[in-house]
Formats: sequence, C-alpha cells, structure tokens
Amino acid sequence: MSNLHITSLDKDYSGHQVLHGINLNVDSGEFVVFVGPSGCGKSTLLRTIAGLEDASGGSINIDARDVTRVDPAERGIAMVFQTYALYPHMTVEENMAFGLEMSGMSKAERKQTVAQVAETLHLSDYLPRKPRQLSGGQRQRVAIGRAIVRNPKIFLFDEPLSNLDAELRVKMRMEISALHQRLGATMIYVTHDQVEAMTLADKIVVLRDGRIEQVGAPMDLYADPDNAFVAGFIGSPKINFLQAQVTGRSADGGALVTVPRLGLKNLEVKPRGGMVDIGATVTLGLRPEHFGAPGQGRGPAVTLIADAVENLGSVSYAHAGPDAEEPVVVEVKDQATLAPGGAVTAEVLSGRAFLFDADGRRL
Amino acid sequence: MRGSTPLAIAFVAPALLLLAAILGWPLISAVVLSLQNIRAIGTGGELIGFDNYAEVLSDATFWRAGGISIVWVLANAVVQTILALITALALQQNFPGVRIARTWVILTWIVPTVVTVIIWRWLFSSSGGMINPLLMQLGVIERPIGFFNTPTTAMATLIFINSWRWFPFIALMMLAGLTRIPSDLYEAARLDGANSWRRFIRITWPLLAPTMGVLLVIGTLLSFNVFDIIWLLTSGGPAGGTRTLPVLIYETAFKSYNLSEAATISVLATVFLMGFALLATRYISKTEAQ
Repeated sequence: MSNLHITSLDKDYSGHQVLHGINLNVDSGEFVVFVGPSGCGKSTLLRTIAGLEDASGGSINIDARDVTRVDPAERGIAMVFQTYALYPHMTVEENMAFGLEMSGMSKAERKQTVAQVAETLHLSDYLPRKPRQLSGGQRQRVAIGRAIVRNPKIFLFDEPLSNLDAELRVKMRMEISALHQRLGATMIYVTHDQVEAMTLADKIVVLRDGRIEQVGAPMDLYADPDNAFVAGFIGSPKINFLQAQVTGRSADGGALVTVPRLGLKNLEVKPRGGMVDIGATVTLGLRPEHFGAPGQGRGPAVTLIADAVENLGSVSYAHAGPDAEEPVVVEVKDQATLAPGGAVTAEVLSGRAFLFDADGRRL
Repeated sequence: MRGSTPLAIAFVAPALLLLAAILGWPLISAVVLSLQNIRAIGTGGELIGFDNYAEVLSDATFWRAGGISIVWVLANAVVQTILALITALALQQNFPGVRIARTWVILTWIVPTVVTVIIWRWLFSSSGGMINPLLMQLGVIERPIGFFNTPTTAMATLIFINSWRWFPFIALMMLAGLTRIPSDLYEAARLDGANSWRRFIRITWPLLAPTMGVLLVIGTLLSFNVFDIIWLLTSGGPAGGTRTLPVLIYETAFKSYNLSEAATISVLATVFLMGFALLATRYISKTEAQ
C-alpha cells in the first residue's frame, strides 16, 4: 500500500519532448488508468515511473521517497508488459521466482512464495511448463504472478490485455479488477481502450500529446468533461459534436443555442460556469444515449433520418446525416422496427449536453 | 505429407537433380578415384579396392595431420567465438558511430584472403614487421622472434590470422541472434533486479545458445577446410607442424603425385565431417526443441 507523487515530470528524447510537466498524485490502494490515443505519452509516463526511462526533469516520489534517479529494481514496483515479457527458456516457476532469486531469497522460500501465488492464480499445474506451452490468458496470469510474488508497492500494467482476444480480454479484465480488490494494492494501468479505463479505474488520467487533459473518477469524466477531447475519448459510442450558435440566455443563466444539424432553435444548455457570449459559435456535445424516447417531455423532440442502423439487440444506434463528415449517432431503445431510411424521433436531453469553445475548452 | 506425392516429387525433382549433379558428382568421383591407383591427372589406373584406405590409415603422417586439424579447428572455434561474441555484444550497444563500426567489421571480412595474408605476413615478419617491436616495447619478449619458425608459434599465429579473418562473419551472425532477443525481456530482468552481468548470463546466453550452436558447427566446417591461409603462410611447415588434412591432401595430390591416395584422404575427411555435422545438428535441434 503506497502512494505516488509525480511533480513537473518532463521527458524528452533528443530534443523531442514527449512529457510536459506532468503533475499527478496516486493515493494508496488506488487503481489509476492512464488512457489516451497512440503517442499521447501514457506508456512513456508508465515506463518513467518504472525507471525504464530516465526523467528529463521533475521528480517521482513513492511513499515520500524520491526515486527519480533510483534503479528500477529498487523502486518497489513491478510491471506487467504488453507482450508479457516472460523468459522463454525458463519454466513458469523459474519465471515467477526470478526476481526473488535476484533479491537473494533462499530456494526453499522462493518455492513456497511462488507456490502460494500460483495457487491463487490457478497456475499450480503449470509451474513446470515453459511459457510457449501456455495459452495467452495463462501467460498473462504468469506475468501477473511474477509481479505479485515480488510484493511490490505499486503494480504497473502496460496495455496488458491488448494481445488477447475479445472474450478473454473481458475475463482478464474482471480478474485484474478482482485482484485489485483482493490485494488492495496501488495499481497503475495503461490502455488506449476507454472501456477498460471506465470499468477498472478508481481514477482515470486522460493524456494527449504528453500532457494531462483531465484527472478524475470515470463517471466524473463522463458526466463532466473539462474539454472536447476528454468528452470525445470517454464514452462509447463517441459523443456527437455539433456546430451551434449562442442566440440568447435563459432566465436562470442557461445558454440558448441554435443547432442547425438537429433543426433546433433556443435549445437551453447550462454552461459549466459563467456567461457565454451571445452570438458566439460553439460546439454542442451530445452523447448518443442522451437522445431520449419521444413523448416523455424531457426535452425538445427532433426527427432525423437513419441512414445506417446498428442493431445490438437491447439498443440500436441510428446514424443520421450521410453527407456530413460525422453522422449524428442516436441511441434508440426498444424500437425493433428501426431500419435504414426510416425516421427516428427522439427527445434531446439538453441537461446532459456540453458546450465547448472553438479551442475545445468546456464552457 | 498431404496431397499428391508423385506431383510433389515432380516439383522437387529438378532442384534435387541439380543438387545431386553439383554435390553428388564430385563426391562420387572422389570415391571412385580413391578405389583406383591413379597417380597424376590424365594418367590411367585400375580399380584396386580398399588398398589406398589401408595405406592411408596405417600412415602416421595422416594421423598427425588429422590431429593437427582437430587442434586447428578447436582453437579457431574458441578464438573466433570469443572474438565474435565480444564484437557482437559491443555492436549491439547504442553508441555514436555504431553504424560505421558495423560496416567496418564487414569490411575486414570481405578483404581477399591473399591481401589479408600479405598484410599479416608483413606485420609478423621478424625484420621490419610491427608486431615484434610492439611486443618488445610491451616487455612481452626480449628479442625479435620468428613467428613462423617453430611449429607452436606458427600454429598460434595462423590461428590468430584465420580467426581474425572469420570472426566478423561469425560476429554478424551472432548480432542477428542477439537482435532476435526481445528488449522487454531485458527490461523485465532489470525490474527483477538483475544487473548487466546476470542479464547476460541468465537471458542473453541461454537465448543465444541455439545460434551459437549453429555458428560453432559452421565455424568448425569452415575452419576445417581452410587451405589458402595456411598454404600461403607456412605451406604446412615448419616440420609439418601446421600440415592440416587439406594441406596433406594437396601435397599428396600435387607434390607426391598420388591422386588416388589424396582422394582417399578427402573421402575419409568428408566422412568425418559428415558425422560431425550430423551429430551437431541433431544435438542442436534437440536442445532447441526443449
């Protein structure tokens, strides 16, 4: 159980800066997920915490001890790699015991420790096997087991599920979540998959171009994003971004906006704070699930033509607007008759909509 | 094997026939030659059975050359492998100019043997060579020595020159083997607390071993058949101290004019090498399967 404090962390590769002044606190026992598109610096940040990359500036503290220049093995961290990085010439048992052996633990003690961890991970039968004799999921568990036996202060996971098939990914996600519950350990997890981020994290760190865009609990990021990037990254299917014009203000401080794509005028949207300039061009962010069933009186109704339909069973997604660069996606529940070319009527739950300025900042 | 076997055979047949012609024909002619009593090229002879084999196998010169060949091969394998491993590990690092260094290593390998020999003969010569003064300055020797004057120094010098010629090739093959080891294994080992020596012993060495095994076989076969360097520098001397089997074969054929006996030695050497290659490849595939 340990905490982590990162202060003004910079990382550059021969002049090319990949991390810009990262400040982050991870509390003891927290499950933190770094998420962002490829090249956002999330893996570099994780590797810098591990000590596999040297920080160019700033500091990393684990339990109030400055480890910025400390050897990776001395930081009290363990890492699970995307490729698992199991030693192919060693058995499962030797793989798991390698770190203990390096730390000078006696053979008998190693055997006992590994056996205990293997038991909890259902790996006992596989201890004499070589990694290549295992399935993807088993290898993953060995990699996790190798981390657990070292009893680290912090677990680091670098996209650990990306090499698994979809079904196994869900299963391992649940296992990792259960593992976190059981060990109560501090874990940092890197992924580009926002579903993994949403389901696993106590706290999500959204990164873009080497900067932290927002830090918060999954539901906070979903319901209250700081900017269009975070709004676009969190949530599936992706949020709709629609051009809008501020035409006035309501009595209680809401902005009245015109949204041409939806054919709506004077849609009332609450900005996060302060006033929005009348006449300003803004972006309205409205999630597909915030189109409600018609006739409920929860917002103004719109009718769109569904050019394409994705039926998932319990819900369907109507894609409207073939000529637009980005179609408007509308979630439709309990409407089995939805077919391409058909009309979709829905209410806009404007209370859940966001406004962003031209730079993508939340208004 | 699935599908039509006759068709499969038809597809491989041309390649097999070509191989048979290129590899098989000389081997068969050597065997036929070894069963005759032809003395020089162009002269006739008759089949005499295994008389040549009895002759050769009872000849002390043959056994001595065989022994020298084994020493030669083992020493070259050891020296080459050590030089190559050090070089490959160095070239694997990221330092400024590593690309130039990698190219430079290939260059030493593509220098023609004759040029290599001339340069080294000059460097090792007791009058005007650079190595004698260097060793004297370092205090290793007191007065100039003739490197090619005694069997032991001549052998050692030849092994050094031959290894110098071949280690870049071995080093590049090892480098290829090294780059096949995923870098995240080293990162995992670093996190596990293994220092660079332990990473080498526990990760690099076991994972490089299959490559090393293949290279040892290749290196052995290459060294065994080396003729040019030895012939150009010592011609098998002094006192037959560097007369390996290829040198003996050449001398028997073109100095003693006993072509059939030379063919006999060749066949015996081939059998020995084939046996070695067979055992070695079997051992390698067994260790790789583990």
